[in-house]
Amino acid sequence: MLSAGIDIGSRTIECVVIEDGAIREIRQAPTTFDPRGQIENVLAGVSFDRIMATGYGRNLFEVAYDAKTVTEIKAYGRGARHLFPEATTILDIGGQDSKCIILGPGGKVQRFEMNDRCAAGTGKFLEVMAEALNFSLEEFGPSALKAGKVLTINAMCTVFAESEVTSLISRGENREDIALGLHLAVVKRAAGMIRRLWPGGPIFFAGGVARNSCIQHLLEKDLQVPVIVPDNPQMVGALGAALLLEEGA
Amino acid sequence: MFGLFGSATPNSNERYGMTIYDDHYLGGIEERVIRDTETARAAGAKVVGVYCAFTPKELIAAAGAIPVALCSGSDFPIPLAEQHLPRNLCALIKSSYGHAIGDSCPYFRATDLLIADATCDGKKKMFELLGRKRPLYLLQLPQTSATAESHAYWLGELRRIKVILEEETGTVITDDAIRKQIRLYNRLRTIVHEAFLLNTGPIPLLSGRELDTVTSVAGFELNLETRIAEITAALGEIKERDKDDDYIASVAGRPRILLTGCPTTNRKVLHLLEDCGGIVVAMESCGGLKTVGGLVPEQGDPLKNLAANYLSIPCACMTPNKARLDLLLAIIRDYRIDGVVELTWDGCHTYNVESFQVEECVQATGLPYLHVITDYSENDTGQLKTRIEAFLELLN
Repeated sequence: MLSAGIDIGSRTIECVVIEDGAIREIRQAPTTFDPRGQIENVLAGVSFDRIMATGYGRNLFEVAYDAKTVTEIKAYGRGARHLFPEATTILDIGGQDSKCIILGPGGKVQRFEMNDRCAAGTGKFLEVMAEALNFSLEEFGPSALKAGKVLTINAMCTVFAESEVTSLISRGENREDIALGLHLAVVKRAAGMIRRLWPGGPIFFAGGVARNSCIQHLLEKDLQVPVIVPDNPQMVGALGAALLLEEGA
Repeated sequence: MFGLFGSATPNSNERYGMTIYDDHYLGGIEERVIRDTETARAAGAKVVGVYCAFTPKELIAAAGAIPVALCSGSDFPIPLAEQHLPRNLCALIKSSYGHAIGDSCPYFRATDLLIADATCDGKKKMFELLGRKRPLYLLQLPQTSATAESHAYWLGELRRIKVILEEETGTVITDDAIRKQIRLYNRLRTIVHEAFLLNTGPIPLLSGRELDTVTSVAGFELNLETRIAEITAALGEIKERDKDDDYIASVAGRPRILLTGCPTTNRKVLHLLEDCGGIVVAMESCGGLKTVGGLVPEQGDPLKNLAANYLSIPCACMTPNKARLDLLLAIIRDYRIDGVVELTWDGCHTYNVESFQVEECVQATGLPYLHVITDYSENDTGQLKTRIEAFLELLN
């Protein structure tokens, strides 16, 4: 039997189809302003027997497809445990959310923390800042790693940080150094959230921001533990939902 | 509107929605209160607006005046309030103030004077401005209930306000009149507490929405005899729920939540908790178990008894406030709690700072704890829903 998980996030939609725990198909698309249409595009031609939704659009999906839903927190916990069975601390930074999840014995979610309404320090923040410095999202992390000195960015609010960046540019600072400062600000916030819950041990890092090599590197430096990023960090939630469905949760 | 779990379970909504209170009774409450206050004022009675729980309504009623609670939960008066008050002040204070200066609260409009209590910094400074709108007398609340000196001081404050009430109403407040009101308000506390206690058994008999209706919405009722009779009638029917299989099925498997923190003046978190599959079996907040649990002694000096009872309310504006932790532990035990949710309004320093100790206290019992900091606006509903659903998943 084919079980699908679909993760409808603020920036991207992922779908993973599994059979007996083995991945059969992976799909992805940007969410855009039309999540309903994009869900249809993602699912077009995908065969599955049942489906479970997670992410921000889960309730939209639940109504349209009469499907089961699960929160991203439980789904990421399950997906992480599958990819990295020793995972106890999971960091997920997505388009507008950052979450830290602690798994207890048996992989059950024990505690979690999540940002409130403000998207400070999430993917959206990095995206706006990359644009302000005229970097593509792909080159933003690697460019920050080339910085020659450490600048401190104090503002975490996207709007305030943008004006701080503007004043650094007008001071003549180079953009790699500013980029590093922005990455450090995100890491400081994420590490603070982890430390509030952290039992110690390696960090499993998922979500779109996990694709940024600078964030991963700075987290390892800050926390002094390995930060493990799976091959496809954006698929962890959809995979988790599919697994939970298969297990009858 | 007052269904057990709102839209999430339409059947139980239809079936049990109105058993708690007669729809006609609640639906007409505002109109009736306004009419009654007007009638009373025409006959020479004063209407006294009150804010925090430390103001003894017994004293106001003993002067033949009518106490009306004025703390507000709606979002719309806030922009108006922010013309005078800072944006980063708690929503409760801004909403209450905005209603008053915008003349958008019919209960405020009905008041002749206000008696307020100097609880948190935000409220006492807001009251200075509110005094421009109505004659306002401030009870200077001590910051601790732990010393004999603060009790003596508080008793002095009640004596001072008693004289003011006598001057404002032209009525001498006798000890017998206070005792009579103490007995009446004790009956009210007892029956409200009884409603809460129906949730101590293995099957919770009231939802948080219904408890909120008992403590808040119906709290506007001026005639306490009517209010007591309505609650008593409602409880009579509610007690039958444990024989009803449909009812039992509708609450089975719902994690039992204790809601604590700031006053639940705005219901968005309460409603989300129940719409997402939980049941709020107990509320520790103002109007809930924080204030209905203790009765005022009916023997002895009535003013001293009032002073002692009211000063012992475990609000986060008091220091130390260990009594709140003790109360939380007792509720966790008595109400078979599965998880504790603390709701604090953004900008409420006292409850926000105290939440650290609450979390420690709850976690020592082994129960999960979720702290939600928000305001009256709806713009964080998506994030809140995810956090609350994930918290409930963790309890299942």
